[in-house]
Amino acid sequence: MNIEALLEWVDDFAAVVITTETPDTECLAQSRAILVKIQEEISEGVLPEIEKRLSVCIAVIDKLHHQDEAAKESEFQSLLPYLAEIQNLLRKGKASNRISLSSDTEEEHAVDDDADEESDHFQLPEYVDQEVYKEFLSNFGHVLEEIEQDILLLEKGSASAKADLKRKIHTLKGEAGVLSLDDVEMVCHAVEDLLGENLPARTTTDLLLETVDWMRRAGKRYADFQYPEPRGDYQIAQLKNRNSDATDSPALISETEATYGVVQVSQANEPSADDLSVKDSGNDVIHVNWDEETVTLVGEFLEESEEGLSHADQILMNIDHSGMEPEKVNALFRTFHTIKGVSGFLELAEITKLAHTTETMLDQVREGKYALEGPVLDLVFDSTELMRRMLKAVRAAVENGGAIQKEFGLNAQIHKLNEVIKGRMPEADELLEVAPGEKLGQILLKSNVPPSVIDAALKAQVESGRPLGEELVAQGNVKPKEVSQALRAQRISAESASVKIKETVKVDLERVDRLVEMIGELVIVESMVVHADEIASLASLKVRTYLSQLEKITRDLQDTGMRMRMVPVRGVFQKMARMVRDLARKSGKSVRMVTAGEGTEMDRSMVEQVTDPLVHMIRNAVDHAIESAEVRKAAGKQLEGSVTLSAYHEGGSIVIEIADDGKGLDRDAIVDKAIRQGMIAGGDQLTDSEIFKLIFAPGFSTAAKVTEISGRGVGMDVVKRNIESMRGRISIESEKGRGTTFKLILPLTLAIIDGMLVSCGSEKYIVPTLSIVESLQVSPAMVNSFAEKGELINVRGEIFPLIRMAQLFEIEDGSPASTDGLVVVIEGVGKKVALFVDDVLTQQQVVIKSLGNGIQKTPFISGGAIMSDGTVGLILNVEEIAALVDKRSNKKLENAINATGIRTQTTANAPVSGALNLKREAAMHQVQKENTL
Amino acid sequence: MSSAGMESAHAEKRAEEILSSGARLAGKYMTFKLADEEYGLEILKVREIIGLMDITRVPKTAGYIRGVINLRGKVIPVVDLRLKFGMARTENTDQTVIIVVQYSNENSDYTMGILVDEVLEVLNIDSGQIEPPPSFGGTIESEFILGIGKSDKRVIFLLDIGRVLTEGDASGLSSLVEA
Repeated sequence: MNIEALLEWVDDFAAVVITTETPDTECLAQSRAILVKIQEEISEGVLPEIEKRLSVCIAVIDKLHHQDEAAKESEFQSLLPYLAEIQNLLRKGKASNRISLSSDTEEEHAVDDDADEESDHFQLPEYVDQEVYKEFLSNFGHVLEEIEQDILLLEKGSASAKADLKRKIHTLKGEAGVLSLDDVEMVCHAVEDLLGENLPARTTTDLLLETVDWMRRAGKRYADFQYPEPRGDYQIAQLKNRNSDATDSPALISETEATYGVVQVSQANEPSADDLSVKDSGNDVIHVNWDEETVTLVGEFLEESEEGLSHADQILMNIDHSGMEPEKVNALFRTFHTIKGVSGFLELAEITKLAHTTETMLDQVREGKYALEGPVLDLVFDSTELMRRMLKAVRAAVENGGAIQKEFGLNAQIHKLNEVIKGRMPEADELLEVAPGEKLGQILLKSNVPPSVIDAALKAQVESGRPLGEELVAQGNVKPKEVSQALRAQRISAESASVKIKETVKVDLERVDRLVEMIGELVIVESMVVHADEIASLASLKVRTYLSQLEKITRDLQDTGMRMRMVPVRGVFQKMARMVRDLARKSGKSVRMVTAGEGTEMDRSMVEQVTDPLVHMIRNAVDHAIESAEVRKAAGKQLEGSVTLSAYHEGGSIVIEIADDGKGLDRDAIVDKAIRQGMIAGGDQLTDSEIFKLIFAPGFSTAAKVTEISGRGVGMDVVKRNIESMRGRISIESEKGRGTTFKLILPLTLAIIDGMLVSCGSEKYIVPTLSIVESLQVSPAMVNSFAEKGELINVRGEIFPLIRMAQLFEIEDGSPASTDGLVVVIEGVGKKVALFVDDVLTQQQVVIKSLGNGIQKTPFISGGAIMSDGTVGLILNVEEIAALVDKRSNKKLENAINATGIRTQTTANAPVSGALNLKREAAMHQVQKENTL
Repeated sequence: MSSAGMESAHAEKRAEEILSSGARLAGKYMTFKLADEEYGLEILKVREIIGLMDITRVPKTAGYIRGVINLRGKVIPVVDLRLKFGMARTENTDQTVIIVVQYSNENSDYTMGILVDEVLEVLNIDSGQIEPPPSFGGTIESEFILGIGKSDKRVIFLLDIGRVLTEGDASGLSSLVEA
């Protein structure tokens, strides 16, 4: 049997279906016969896809025999989509010549095996220029990022994203083809095919994202001149297999189930069907017999309900702007609930049913099972619209007397609602293509709203002051759903527009760095010139004006230079959004990712550095912090968890905030664990923030079981170290059961640091302002010396180890033993120490410079900076200085002092951190000495 | 430890290497003075000569590292060559200069300043004027020396500056301990 003939049969049958309005028994029998015949021809598991559809069709026809005319007509027509699918499958099979061979999957494997035998080494054809190849690969990652973004937009139902995506994939395909990257080219082609079909959005995006991942890996392999692993064939097979899977489930199965469902219901309850349409078959009216009192009640009901619906529409239209707030969903819920109650009492069964189903769906939204957006939102609009029509029919019946005209579409609507309630999301309507910046009126014009209507609304708007959308709805000329969809289309285009608008030039990063460096030099020379004594003594007003102008331009130049290295955090945030999506999918949790402030700019190199910590923290949030749906339900929370990632400027810093609404940190569990590990003493009174900081301690996380500290702390020491290496800080706020907020406070750029200039003897050092807790004048009474080796300082009851800079740095003209000076309390790696200096001079911004690789190790110094006098200033490495102090011995010591009340000299031989470290250092030197000898 | 034998063997091997590549060593050298001794640097490794400027001491580093200076916006370390060679430290004079050298070692570029007593001249030394470095019995100096140049009865130690500055780190540690 050849495919041509099969195709012909299917075509013929489809023609019959189309032309037959209401099939009679004979027609049905014939149809069944054709289908069975086709089924026989292609039997024996060769084409499982087609078989499946054929059986569905036959089942539908079998049921039809027992049904009434109306049902017969609609059900019969419902065969068409299946027939179309069968035709498609047959045609595809014909094209690939596969149909008479084994099943698709086996063939795919065969290809796969072939690929494995080939060498992994990828040879660039001679006609391809290496430079072009490299250029393509270096750009490849960027292109994939854009594609990924489009995919995520596509999932939200943006039509323009789809077009964009197609275009980008096509370009990629072309480029890959030129460079003979056949695997990528073929995969792109398969993706194009996939985009051409109309699959459920979620399945498509899953496949697409996987493919992007594959391409990313492929790019890396190609960079090493190797073929991708697995090869392109494999990925195409994935796409195709899953592609057909996707058509089976859930779309097809749900439809078949639904078909059976409806059929069975009508069979079982034939005489007293649950919807009125069946009961009054062939009769489109419901006869009512109301007494006067009831009529009054009905009148009131209609009034109230219509008012409620208008309110509901208004809420629905505004949901897209301001997001879904629980009160709004509650208000919607209440509207339908009231209608349900009263209509039930009035025995308006159809209305009750619609209200009930809509209410059930809204309840699920309230529980957070899914968001009220896109197609779900449209569905609620449909419900209000239908409800309004039904109410109108009731009103007509009351006013004119007689029967209530039935509304069509009730069954369909209820069916759609039920689908959602069962967890199957409807397809999003394709939103209109909207150019960025288009006004609502313009968009509506495109969707066939007559200009006169919009003009009228615009005029009325002047008086009422309402937004155009609300005005149009109030006039009753445009459906609220249309307005809402137009608004959504407008928003999506604005979102994608904000990304595209900027034009950029690619510049070698080294050049930018060189420029920034040179600007730095210019700034210093400028300041040297301006502050030179000879110039300062000049009385010329002219020179001064020029100089101040020069100064201003230099500052601006410095500013611009710095900004050249800045990039928005958008890229990282997108990566995180993708990760949350994947993690949530994997863990079976429902998690909503909210991002804010993606446009906030950060130093380029920091963006890279901050990615790792973010990955850790986001993974923690989704994996551990967000509870499973059951637990959340029990705790009375929204079923859908949320992770919010936001970035903003605060003072001279950038703050990145990761907030979840999960279970929060368990304060007591952390304290328990810390006591057991000997990090803190049992009697310690610690503040929340001190306790939460314990989770950053290395080793703490690994030892604590996930359950004991709510899972938080996995890799947290890594996070902390990463952030500190960027000279940033982390703060934690957490409430048990309510969620946790991590704040990463980072400097604007790695190149510049806010520093406090301190002096000791004739030397000057820069202390990073970010790590300074406070600085204060010392009185001799505050200083306690310990065995004449270590010293402690008591600052308002808090005791810190005291480190004398003169001693630490062996500054000859520093005053080592004096108590007359200033103390700067610094904090690093969670430890506070007091640094004794002669004076605190000034605060200033400095550009950090490496001390050059000629110097191998500079303990306690993290870098240098050119000072305004042209000399080099050294920047203290606060972490290293703080690490001098062993936290545990420090704690013990503090406890000892607190317990005995000894506040001054003591000869107890408790280990003193300072002394300990001196000893350790001496020991280390000894070892080094031995090594070098 | 019987390292002396090994070291001298090593030195001999080096001497052979240098002899065989004697022609390679011929060329222009910048000569300078430390105390009464004359040294030469391959001219290609010298970037510039700058007068003495304020040097910021970097604490806790090897004694021969005088500190860091600002070379037109770039921070570079300065090594006191006298201290590096274990000679006595002297007061700076108006002849004291910093020679900025640039060299590559294991794929990274180094720019450093070396503090010397006095810069003399740029000398052209032929391969015939160059002799292999003598063995000082395993002292560090012979490691640092490419060869010995002779010019008008003057003896000039031709320095392998990369070696002087990089390998010094080990001895740098020991001097840190002694400091």
